[in-house]
Amino acid sequence: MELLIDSFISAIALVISLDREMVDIVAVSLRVSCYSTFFASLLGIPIGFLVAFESFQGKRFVITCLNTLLAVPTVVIGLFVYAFISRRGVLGFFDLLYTQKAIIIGQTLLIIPVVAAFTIAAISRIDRRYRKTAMTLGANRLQTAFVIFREARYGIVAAVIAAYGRVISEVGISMMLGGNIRGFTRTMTTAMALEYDKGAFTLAVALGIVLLGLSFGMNLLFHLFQGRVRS
Amino acid sequence: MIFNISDLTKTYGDRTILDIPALSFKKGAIYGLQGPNGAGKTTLLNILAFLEHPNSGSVLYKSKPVQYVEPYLQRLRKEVILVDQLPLLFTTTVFKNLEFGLKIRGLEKEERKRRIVKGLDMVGMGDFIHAPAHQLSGGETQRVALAARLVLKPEILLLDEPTANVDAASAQQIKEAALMARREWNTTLIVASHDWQWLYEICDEILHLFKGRIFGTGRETIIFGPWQKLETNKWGKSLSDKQQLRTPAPPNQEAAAVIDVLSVSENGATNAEEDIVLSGMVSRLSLERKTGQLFATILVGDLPFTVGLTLQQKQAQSIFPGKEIFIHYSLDRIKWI
Repeated sequence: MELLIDSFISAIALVISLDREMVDIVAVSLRVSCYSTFFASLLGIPIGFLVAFESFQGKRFVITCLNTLLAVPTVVIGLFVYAFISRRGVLGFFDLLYTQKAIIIGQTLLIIPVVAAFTIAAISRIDRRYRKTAMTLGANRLQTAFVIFREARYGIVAAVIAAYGRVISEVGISMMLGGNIRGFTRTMTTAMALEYDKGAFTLAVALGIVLLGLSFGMNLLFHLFQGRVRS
Repeated sequence: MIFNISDLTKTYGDRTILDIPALSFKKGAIYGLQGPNGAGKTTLLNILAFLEHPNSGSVLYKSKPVQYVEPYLQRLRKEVILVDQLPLLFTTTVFKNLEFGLKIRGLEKEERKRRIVKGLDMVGMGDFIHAPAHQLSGGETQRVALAARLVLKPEILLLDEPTANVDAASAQQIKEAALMARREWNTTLIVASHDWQWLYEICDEILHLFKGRIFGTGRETIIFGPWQKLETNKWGKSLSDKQQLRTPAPPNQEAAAVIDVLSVSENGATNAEEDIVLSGMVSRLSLERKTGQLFATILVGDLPFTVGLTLQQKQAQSIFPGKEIFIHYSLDRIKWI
């Protein structure tokens, strides 16, 4: 207990003093998470929107597949991407392994299903009468789609926030594809795992506090947007 | 004719929702659609609004057959506009809701603003121009939804139960605004409503829809099942005032009887053996605008019967609400649907 209290007090001091190493690690984490969320949104939102908006054969199957992919372990994605970008992989000549780009690729693949599935849920919740209203006012297909998108905007933002929350706290992909290189690919979660291995808890606890703070902020935002969806 | 429908059917699965051999609508006229819930009124309005397509039959719009392909339908939807029974407004301001259809039509900003102000004034919502639409009450939402259509100056305005879920003040505003559209732009109005008194007042023609079929003029008395075998070995219904409504044997328990009331009398005397006489009370009088015919609604038990009054009855002023009166009908003239 004493160890935990001591570590916690030292960690608070580290956070307040904005320790250089800690700030670098947090910056790497935020950067890769922001990029991967951006790219996943770019792909996941249109996929989710099209699946929800259009009627086609096999729609239920696609939704089931996306929901299944929500539960894929990060190490499976890490392994899959590793097979492509390692020196012996098809994309080995890009020399991506153990770079932030590799983490971004892996994390993007991880959360595309999250963004898509939550977008489908957001669009599906929109009252079908909005579509009818837009059509009866003379809207074409694109204008009708825009109306639906607009009505689902809070739900879609909530999908992006949920995806961001997933990547900021994942460890498997960052470790396997980033390699936990200090000052370069070391993220909050991989640093915490390393510090734990070393038995040095101060930085690990400090990063834990920052991560919890970020997660709290994300959840606050998420609930704010979910609340607007419900209202 | 603005619409000409022939041999139209619409089915959902095994269920036939509409089966209309022939129906037409004249430009600039006001039509009423009456019928119980599930009769097919909303489906017919959706087909007329080009939001659904029939399974078979043809729909001619302005004498041209409607092609059910999207870009073509979208053009038609700019002329024929529907107000839903429970309309939704986009989650933005009232102004932007009204601006949506105008922007689609490519109108200039100043013209858009002028029309929006006028449209809101027509429905008595001028003070709500910048209000958030999702904070309006049901009646206000219905009025703004109507205004969002009126600003588009529709050639045909389809109203699906426009006053069913609103208070009396909102209903009045909606009725006045719809009629103003007809006066100002010669808009054809097709109104589905249970408010038959209003329909009688404003409509050039009233159509009765029952189980997907157009039937009669809406003035017939329709009595719904279930039916029971009465003591006298005849079929019918026991009424709440202990009288018996007698009918021939129904084709099935859920069939509806169309009863043609032959006449009304003050003493119930009958000289024809086949006549059935029931006593009731006049509950309402209404005028059919187009023909000038006066109609009385007579409550027999809890069942309302509609009867066209003769000139003599009108002149003698012998019929007035609250008066006890007898209706006469004949078993031979009951039809089943």
